[in-house]
Amino acid sequence: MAEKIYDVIIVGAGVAGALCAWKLASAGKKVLILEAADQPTGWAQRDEFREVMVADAADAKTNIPRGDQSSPYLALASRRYAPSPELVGKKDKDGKPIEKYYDYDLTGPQTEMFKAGYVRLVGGSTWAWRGNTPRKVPNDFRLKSTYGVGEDWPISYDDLEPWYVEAEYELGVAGNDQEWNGLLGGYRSKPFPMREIPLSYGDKLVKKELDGTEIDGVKITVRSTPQARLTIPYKPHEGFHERRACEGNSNCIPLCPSSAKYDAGSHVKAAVKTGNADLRSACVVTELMVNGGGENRVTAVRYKNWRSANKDEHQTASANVVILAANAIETPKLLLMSNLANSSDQVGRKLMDHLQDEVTAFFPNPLYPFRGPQSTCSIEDFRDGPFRKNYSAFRMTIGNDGHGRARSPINVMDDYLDNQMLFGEGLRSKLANDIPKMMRISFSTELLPNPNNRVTLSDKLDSYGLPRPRIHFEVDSYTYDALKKGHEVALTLLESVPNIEKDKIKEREWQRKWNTAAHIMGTCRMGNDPKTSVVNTDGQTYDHPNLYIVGTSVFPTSATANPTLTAAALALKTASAVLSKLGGKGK
Amino acid sequence: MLGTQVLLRNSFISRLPEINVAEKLDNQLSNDLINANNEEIFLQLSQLLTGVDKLDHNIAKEYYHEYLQQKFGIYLDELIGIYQRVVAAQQKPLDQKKVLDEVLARIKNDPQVLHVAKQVVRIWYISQFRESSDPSINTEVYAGHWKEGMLWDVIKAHAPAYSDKPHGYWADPPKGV
Repeated sequence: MAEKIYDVIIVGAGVAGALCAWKLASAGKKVLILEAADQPTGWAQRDEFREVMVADAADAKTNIPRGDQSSPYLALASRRYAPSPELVGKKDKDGKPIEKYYDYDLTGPQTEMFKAGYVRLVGGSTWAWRGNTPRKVPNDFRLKSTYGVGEDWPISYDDLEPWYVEAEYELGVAGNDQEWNGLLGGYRSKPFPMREIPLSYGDKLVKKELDGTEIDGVKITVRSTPQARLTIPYKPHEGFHERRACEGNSNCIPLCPSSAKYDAGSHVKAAVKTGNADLRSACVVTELMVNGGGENRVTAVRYKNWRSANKDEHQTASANVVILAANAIETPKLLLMSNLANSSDQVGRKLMDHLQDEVTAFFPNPLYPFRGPQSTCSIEDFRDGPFRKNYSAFRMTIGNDGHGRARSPINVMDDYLDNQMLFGEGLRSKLANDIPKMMRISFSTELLPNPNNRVTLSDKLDSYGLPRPRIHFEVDSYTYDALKKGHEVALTLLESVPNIEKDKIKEREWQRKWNTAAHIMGTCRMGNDPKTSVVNTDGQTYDHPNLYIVGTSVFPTSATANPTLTAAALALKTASAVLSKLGGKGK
Repeated sequence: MLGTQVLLRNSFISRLPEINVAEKLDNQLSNDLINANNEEIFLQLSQLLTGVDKLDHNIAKEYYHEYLQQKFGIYLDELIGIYQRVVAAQQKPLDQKKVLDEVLARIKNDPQVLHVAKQVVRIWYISQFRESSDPSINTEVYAGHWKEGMLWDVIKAHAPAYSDKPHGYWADPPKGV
């Protein structure tokens, strides 16, 4: 039987690929989605993920904690053939980096371990994300021209604004238009599709204390965070499964048990439901082939299906257009394996993450965290300003999850048991008194694009015989100074709370350390100059006219906004460009 | 309330590794009774160690037989035996704080029994426990009742991933606060 002819092949069924697939398929284009994972996306699978997270992840044999982003996904067969980085940034008892998939290049004086991981699933890492969806602010697109550091984007806020609107309606973003319209210059041409996530009881108490505090002439406002987490039952279009409003499971990372939080499985399903898209799962793409004669068009996509009888046999698929939507590690890896799209020598370079840290405290009164979403509000006031000439902007969040990653309730209980020998009523009452007062203020910084921070191909192979990503990562003073400033602001805010026990603020002294926000960006930068960029403003590669890239890999800079909404907006923009190229109109 | 005879028997069994044939036969004949009583004693001991009054009988049976007894055997028996002796020696009505202090005083220098006492707390609070007392190795075992873990009740929350509450409930304080 002849291979079906497709208009578009999309590699990767995460949020960027899924949105492209849906947009193109709903406009009548024939789409093939190649996805390395193969799990279903329905309720039974969601329930099983929860069971695995609760049971398997608690068990010593997996050695992955229950809250880890990969913990619900440990039972998937795809882990063998489409491995994800796990226990990223962790070291063993002897101080050696634990290498599960990543191969760390730790040479050089400023080198650090890259700590951001992801999951490979139908739906991508949106299964395991927090769901925060702030937009970038206008100056994020012109960092170089405004502040003389980093780079400018080849597009402006104005260019992206309509696509932000579309992305917010596709994902189902809950937000407060009054709080966000015009914030730091970021106007909104259309309201959010639904009202904001209610602030938690505790967040309201915190907001009451912090609002109006002045730091460095900046008046602090605690705002509700826009989140792709529903406040009403919602489906963006007919043909979608209706997701229900958030029930506050306090488990957004690593899994929403109710589907109130957006995951891209919904757009994959809707794309397939149009009858115009095929999802070919369990297919790990190994190479893109191009024709000769100077055209440099991608003619075929080679892949191996690990569910097939001969899992090592290569298969091929062809289409007029190929869209790479893996992620900012897998996309450059595939391009490097194919030796394509890299005339600029930028593929794999300028890898970025948001480096974050937090200050934790005990509020004077109970806040009752662990009820509702893990975070409902934020402080956006340091995301822009003249200080960006000297150190990076930072975005602050108020946690609704106690001390967050620094200290879980289980850690607290173990501390009281093991170190304080507390049992019985003494233990119970101390836990009842202390944990409801736990709070954190986190801050997430910008990392400038650095060509040394890069993904290359390791000599070490994964279990399917493909090169593992080798990662070199450095952090400079622009970011460390912001981490220090973020710490100072968070500490000042916490100490401004009347009657707070200052000696119980654990992180009073700043330490040169950071954690990952797991926001992997860069590696296939967008720009106007083919000599220094991989893709143009449509996401089209300069070297291959029918090859496009979507996802966070095209970001020229990281700014401070959680990246998914921007990736979604850019993906919709690219899908529209592809549609125009193929001759068609979208919905 | 426990009978003195059973208290003594359990104490005796747990402390003497070798018992005569008649005693063994007696044990078998009254196995059900002893088990039932051990479950009850385990439940009371659990309430003492956790500080939580209302623990579930069925879960207690499961934790006792399927997990703790299997993993900790003689050390759990030893802990129960100590508890029984402390209870027997205390004036009635019992002062639970005194009982707890006395139990802790007797086990604090016995790392194995102390470890089991901590795991009794952990299994009730989070439905998992550590087999080994060496903190440098991960020996966590899941015991099947994450949702029913008492820690969440104590801090007036719910087990993460198991809300069972309507949208927006988090905007208000917990009931009864």
